[in-house]
Amino acid sequence: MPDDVGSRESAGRAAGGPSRRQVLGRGALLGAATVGAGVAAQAEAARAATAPPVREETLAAEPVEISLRVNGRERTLSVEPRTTLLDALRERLGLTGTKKGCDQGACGACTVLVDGRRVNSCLTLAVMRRDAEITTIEGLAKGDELHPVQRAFLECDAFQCGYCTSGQIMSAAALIEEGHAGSPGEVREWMSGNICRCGAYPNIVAAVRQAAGGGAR
Amino acid sequence: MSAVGQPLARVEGRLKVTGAARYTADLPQDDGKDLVHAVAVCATVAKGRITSIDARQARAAGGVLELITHRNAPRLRPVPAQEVFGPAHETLLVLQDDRVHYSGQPVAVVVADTLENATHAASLVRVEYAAERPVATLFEGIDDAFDSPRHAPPATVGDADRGLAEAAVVIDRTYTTPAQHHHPMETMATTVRWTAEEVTVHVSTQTISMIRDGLATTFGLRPEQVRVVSEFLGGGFGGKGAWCWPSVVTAMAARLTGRQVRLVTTRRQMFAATGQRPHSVQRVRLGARRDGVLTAIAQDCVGDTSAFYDTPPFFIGAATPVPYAAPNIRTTQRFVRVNCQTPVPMRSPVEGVGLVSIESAMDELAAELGVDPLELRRRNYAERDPNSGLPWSSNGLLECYERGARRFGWPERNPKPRSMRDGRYLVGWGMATAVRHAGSDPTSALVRLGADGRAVVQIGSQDLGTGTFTIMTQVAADALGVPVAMMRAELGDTDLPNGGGSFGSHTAASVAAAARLAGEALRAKVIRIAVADDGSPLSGASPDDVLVDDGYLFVRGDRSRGERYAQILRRNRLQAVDATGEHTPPPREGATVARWAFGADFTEVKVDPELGTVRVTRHVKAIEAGRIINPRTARSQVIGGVVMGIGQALTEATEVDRRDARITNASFWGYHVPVNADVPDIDAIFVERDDPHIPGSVKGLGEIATIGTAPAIANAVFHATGKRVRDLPITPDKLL
Amino acid sequence: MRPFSYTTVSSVRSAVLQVSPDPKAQYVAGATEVLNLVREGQIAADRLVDIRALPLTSIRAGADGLHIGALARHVENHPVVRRDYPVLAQALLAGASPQVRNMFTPGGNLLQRTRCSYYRDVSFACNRREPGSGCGALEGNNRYNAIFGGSDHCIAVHPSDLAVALTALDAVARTQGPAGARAIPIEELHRLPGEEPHRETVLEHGELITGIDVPASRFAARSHYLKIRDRASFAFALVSVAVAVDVRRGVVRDCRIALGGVAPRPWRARAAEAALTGKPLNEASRRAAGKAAASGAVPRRHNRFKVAMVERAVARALSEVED
Repeated sequence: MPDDVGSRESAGRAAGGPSRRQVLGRGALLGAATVGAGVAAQAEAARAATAPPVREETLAAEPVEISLRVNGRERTLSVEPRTTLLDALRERLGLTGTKKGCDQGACGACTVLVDGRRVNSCLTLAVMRRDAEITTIEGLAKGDELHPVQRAFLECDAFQCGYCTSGQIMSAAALIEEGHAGSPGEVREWMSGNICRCGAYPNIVAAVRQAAGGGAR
Repeated sequence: MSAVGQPLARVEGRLKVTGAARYTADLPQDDGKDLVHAVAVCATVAKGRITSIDARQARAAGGVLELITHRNAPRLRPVPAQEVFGPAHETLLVLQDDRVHYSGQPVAVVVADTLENATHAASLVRVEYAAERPVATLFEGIDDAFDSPRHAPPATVGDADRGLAEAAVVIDRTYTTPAQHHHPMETMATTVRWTAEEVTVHVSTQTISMIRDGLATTFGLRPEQVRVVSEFLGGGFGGKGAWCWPSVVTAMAARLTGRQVRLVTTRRQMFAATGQRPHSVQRVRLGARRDGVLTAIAQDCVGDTSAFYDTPPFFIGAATPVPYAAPNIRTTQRFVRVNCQTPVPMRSPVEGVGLVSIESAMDELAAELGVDPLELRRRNYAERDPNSGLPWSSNGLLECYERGARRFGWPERNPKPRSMRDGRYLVGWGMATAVRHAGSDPTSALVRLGADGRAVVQIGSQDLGTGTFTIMTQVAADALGVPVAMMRAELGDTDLPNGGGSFGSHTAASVAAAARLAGEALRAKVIRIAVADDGSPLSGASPDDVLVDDGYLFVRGDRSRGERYAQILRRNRLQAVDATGEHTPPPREGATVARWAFGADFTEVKVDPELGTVRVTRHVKAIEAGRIINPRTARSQVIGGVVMGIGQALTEATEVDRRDARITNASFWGYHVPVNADVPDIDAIFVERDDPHIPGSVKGLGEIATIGTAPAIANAVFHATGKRVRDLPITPDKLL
Repeated sequence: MRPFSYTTVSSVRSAVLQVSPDPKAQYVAGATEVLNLVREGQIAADRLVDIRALPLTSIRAGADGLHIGALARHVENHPVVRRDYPVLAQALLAGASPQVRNMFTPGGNLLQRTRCSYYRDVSFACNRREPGSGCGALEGNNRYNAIFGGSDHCIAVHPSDLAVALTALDAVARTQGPAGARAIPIEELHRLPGEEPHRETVLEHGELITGIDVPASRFAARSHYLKIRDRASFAFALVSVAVAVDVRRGVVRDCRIALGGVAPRPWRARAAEAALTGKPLNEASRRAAGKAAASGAVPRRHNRFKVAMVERAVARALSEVED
């Protein structure tokens, strides 16, 4: 019964906020059930990135209170259905580390992690991410202890103006988890969704390799 | 130990890797309750009149507070051209009348309570135009090209025509360079609060003082009433250096609504908000003897300027008479009025455009004569500045050639085009010379030392990401004699001492000179206090005999006789002591030396001969820019400059529809700046020189970092393929 | 962005019931395309219906071929896809940035709209976006536009890499609409513009792509995707080619050649397939196939280069599947 999966998803979350179950119109479907070739990782990936809603409902074209789980905290905010995740983070939650560079998914400055995967926050709606675990640049360090990618960016001088840096770092952190830091060439290709107009690319590649434990070059 | 010359990590680095650095659109953080959002509506014709603006739908949309058009906008006073850089006269055009001069010109501004409402309402404003036929590009208007001797006086050495007539070989070629856009990752953002007493402006700009003065003039205020802040800047490259409309219309909106207003231009609007690198056609004739020694250089350029701005922005040929010792040189520029935004500097308005043709033509001459391109340049090395006849203040060009060539392995080059291969790819090696005028601007600095021994250096400059925060810290720490950890830098606020604009590769030289003077003045001031203080171990010493090391002051020859800065201040019950420094650049008139930075680019490309794709696979850039304050940030700046040169050579062009003068690739997916996969390892070599004619021997890096890269790549493509592309960028279609 | 309401649905039936009767309703899943279109004004949606919860995420590989759910994720990572359908994995990898690939869905990818400059900026004339307004590209900056399949009303190019690879694999889209289910060959999903460029696909409003079937074939395993673009990565194709060949005893028994970046839909180069079939795969046959692929092209002022580029790209792609 797919509903079980939905329950597990909910159970993993911190308490607080109205119960999702109350607004369930029908039994939820996750839909990641049938995965070919018995690839567990595939199933996991499918589930994480799809982050399906677990209710059938309509939100009117007007402000609505929602909660988002950002950097491990449940945050309540008012958005409209049309509010992008990027604008919600910046304008509603004051998490301005995530930047707007093009608002078209063509530069990567707005990259955040949704359920551990890098996405362009300008290309998704806040209301579509109510069931997701969102990580922004503000949530990457553990207190004062920087994430290894942040440290490597500092050590390799992998930025100048810093405007694309949040997106680069979030993208790099995900890239390493994906296992794409195997060679400088691989890093270049898999970091190509993040434009850096200051041209820090060679240092970014070095930083990603260093953070991944692959050496500076 | 001296901090200058050390690879200090960026002092603001931690703020940037944690997302804590606040750029203009991230403000305010404290009280944003009053903040409302403005969105500009921009013209969709390039020339004509506005015949009607239907705002009914927009006004009916939710949350709209104000809608500004030329009918209700505050009247603006003209800003004299000498007061601001860039199209000063544009102030007359920002919502002041019904004329449209370029596509993308703002014709209305919507202010609403939320960003979503403002954006949507702006999309509902219906503007009708009586469109007229625009001049779409340089080519459409070339018959009406005009001279502007005041801004582009023909540069002449000897008699170029005679030199060409005497030449054994003449290369006569025409090159075109496209309009290109800076595209800093941060678009233009402005936040304005307007109260009865003062106007506070947060703005993404390379020059806060110009924005202050321009806004004061255009709104009839005193400059003291306007405070402009720009602490963290998301890149500029020249695109945020000119006077342009976003700050003006945001100020209008703040004044009309009485609210704090933020306007952030969209990426599409960035194609007309701040100007672009001009489109140019450059005819070059090089005359030479058989041994390659130049007898003449003649360069005749045509560049575009906007239809509404009388003053052409700059002379792209101005540096042509600099790199080579030709006895006869002439360079001219004519201008064409085009219905575009006014061109502005882009990582060298002069050398970055005008030397593309010269360096390509030198390569053609080398091929014609069968002389190695590097050797050809060596043979034409100028012992003095050919233009002025003055000696160089310093010149490390020959060493740049030598060290760059050695690192690159240039002697291994097979001179024959199409002779080098790597599997299916043709390999090409190319090189070019780079020169850039070295200057600085009047700059003031204040250094303040607190009783805790910590100090701050303040300059109303800007940090585009180049490392200004960091080098200010290093220079001021050394001048005062404290560790860098005890020095903090503040910039980006017109309440601070005047810092000038961050452009023209002037910033490092300017802020370093002022910071040093202020730090030294403060050190002298505290020493005077100490030697006059009976309670100090330094009492009675001659101020000239007091040395400072690591915040500890002591008498020459006796390190035990001394004390720390903090002790002096505390004993004298001083909360803080400060001192200022004023840097005045040497006057250009009456100069006795020519001050230039030099460089040499060496590059390798691999070309797929079947498909026409080009990849830069390695690049070495050797630069002589005097003394390097911070080799770490300097290296990054040079790498970044080369990356921009790769874009200039291979991928970037602003495409205009020649029927209606409208840009057709106004997006980040349509305008291709290089991505990570386009960029190889880049090697930066600094050839250091002491320059007794330049304070601190700082010549600046911003522009020399990019100059030379594009022609080196074009030359490498020729070497790989035997095909000379004289029309940048070199996209695959041009090599099929 | 215009205001819209937002509805989540949990079954295909419910999704179709929500969208079909409402001309201003639009499906959303990955959102990577729909949000841009609503934001920029190409789509005037008052309602987005989120279909991510539908049970359409599976990837099934079997003896009869491959089934890809319309919402399947990271098809390129599937080991069977990588081994037996390499062209598909390569096209997906070349198709977008890693971030976008983490978001988009196969169904949505097929339905992305053209990247023609004149379509994407709503202030330009565009028959596809606004019937009867004219076509800015015909006489304008048409470097990226079509050399096949265009009309005097539209020369837009379909930008999907995935669709090109699927076309070369004879794939079929499965849909569910108010009138029931049907199967549409990917090649025929998009209409040629003719006189009605605004009718972009053969789908009825509300008809939902539920999955894609890729039949088992003897050519899928020996396949390759080549994409030529203006920079090394993260750009739309100037020209792309999907090739798949069945070579036995040194002779091409069957093959598929599909082109991207050249037509309003993925373009089967049947003349090239015919030229290659029955021939040994060698330089001469590759070049002949390239020539045939480019035959019949109708280039415009700024895209004449695409003719030569198609010839060479087809030959190159075929060289990648040679022994």
